[in-house]
Amino acid sequence: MSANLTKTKRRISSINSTKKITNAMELVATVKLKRYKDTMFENSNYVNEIVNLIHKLSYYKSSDKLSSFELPNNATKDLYIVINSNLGLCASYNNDIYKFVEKNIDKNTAEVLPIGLKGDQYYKKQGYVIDESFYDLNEKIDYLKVIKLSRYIESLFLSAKYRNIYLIYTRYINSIKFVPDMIKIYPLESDNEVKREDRLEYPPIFDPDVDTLFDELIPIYTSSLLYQKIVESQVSEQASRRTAMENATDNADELIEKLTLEYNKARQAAITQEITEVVSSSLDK
Amino acid sequence: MFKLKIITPKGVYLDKEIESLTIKLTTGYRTILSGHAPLIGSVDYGPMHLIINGETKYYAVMGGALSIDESGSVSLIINGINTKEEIDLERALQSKERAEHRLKEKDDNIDLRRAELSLKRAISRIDTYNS
Repeated sequence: MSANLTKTKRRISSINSTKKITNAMELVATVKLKRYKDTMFENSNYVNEIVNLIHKLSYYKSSDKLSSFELPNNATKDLYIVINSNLGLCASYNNDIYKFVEKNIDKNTAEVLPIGLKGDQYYKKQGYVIDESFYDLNEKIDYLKVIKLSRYIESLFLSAKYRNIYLIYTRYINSIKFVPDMIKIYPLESDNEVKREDRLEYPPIFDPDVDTLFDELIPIYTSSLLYQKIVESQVSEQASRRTAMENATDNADELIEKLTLEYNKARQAAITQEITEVVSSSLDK
Repeated sequence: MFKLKIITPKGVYLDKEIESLTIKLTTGYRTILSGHAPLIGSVDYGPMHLIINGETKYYAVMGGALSIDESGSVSLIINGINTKEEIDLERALQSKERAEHRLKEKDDNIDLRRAELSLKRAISRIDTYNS
């Protein structure tokens, strides 16, 4: 009986220390979530302005001349940039992306450029051809590093190494809902919705000309888009981790309550038994 | 007076009524005063001067785009910005030297575009410091 008691007691204390860790992780994730959300919000201005400019430019761009970012090339491979996390303990965040990747990527015609340590390890193990140049990009998100990535994929596309370049990230819907999503980066899809009627009667001055401007703005647009999506994925990851850790802490509380009850019952039973033994032995005399 | 909004990836840097803006576009310097016609331009790495309430302020700008809309308000969308006071000349000179050295070596292992960008940033800071 007393062996059982010590075992229960040990379990309670072990669960208690686990609870301390999950609780701390929940707090850390909450703080990080807030920080990344602020970053996402502040960055949205920048992205919107650039998208606006690109739209404005495409009104006036000569429609018969495609920019080199829009022209399809005759490469046979696609490149997928996939954003995963660096750390575990974030519930199904990474798993959802793995499933999405499996469903959408054909190993034979595609290569993966993982961002995040978890993805790097997983896709290597699964036998994807991977490019490891930027796997630690989201450890500490730095805009200059994102620009570097954007220049890198730009040169890959322009040198006709890949036919299409996609980005797989996790879209943040609300603090408990986020889904993996995919967008095409290159070639740029020409916007069919551009209405020529939206043109002003007198077009703005372009300095230099529209087509050069367009080609100069595209890399800026791409890096801002990449940055936005990487931050959004971070927000999703932290939200996922926060919920997971919150649930873990709740479960630990529940378990501790159950085990304490069990422990008290067992202790009471042991005492009762000892009393019975003492009483019965004194009666025997 | 016209409205100037400077937007960087880190958020809105400045949103103010100003008197004059001088900036280096890829085609050369351009000064914008109140009532300018709509314009879209590509901004180079280089110095920028603003006149706010009669006072001239100097900045180093790290490339981007400039847009003036029909109402005459100006949006400047740039990768990064430093005030003249923030610039550490010693550091800028060092990174200029480093970048030039890298570009000269033309080693395949060195990212040339990165060296080029870092050179541009350094020159932009040095020019601003000396303006």
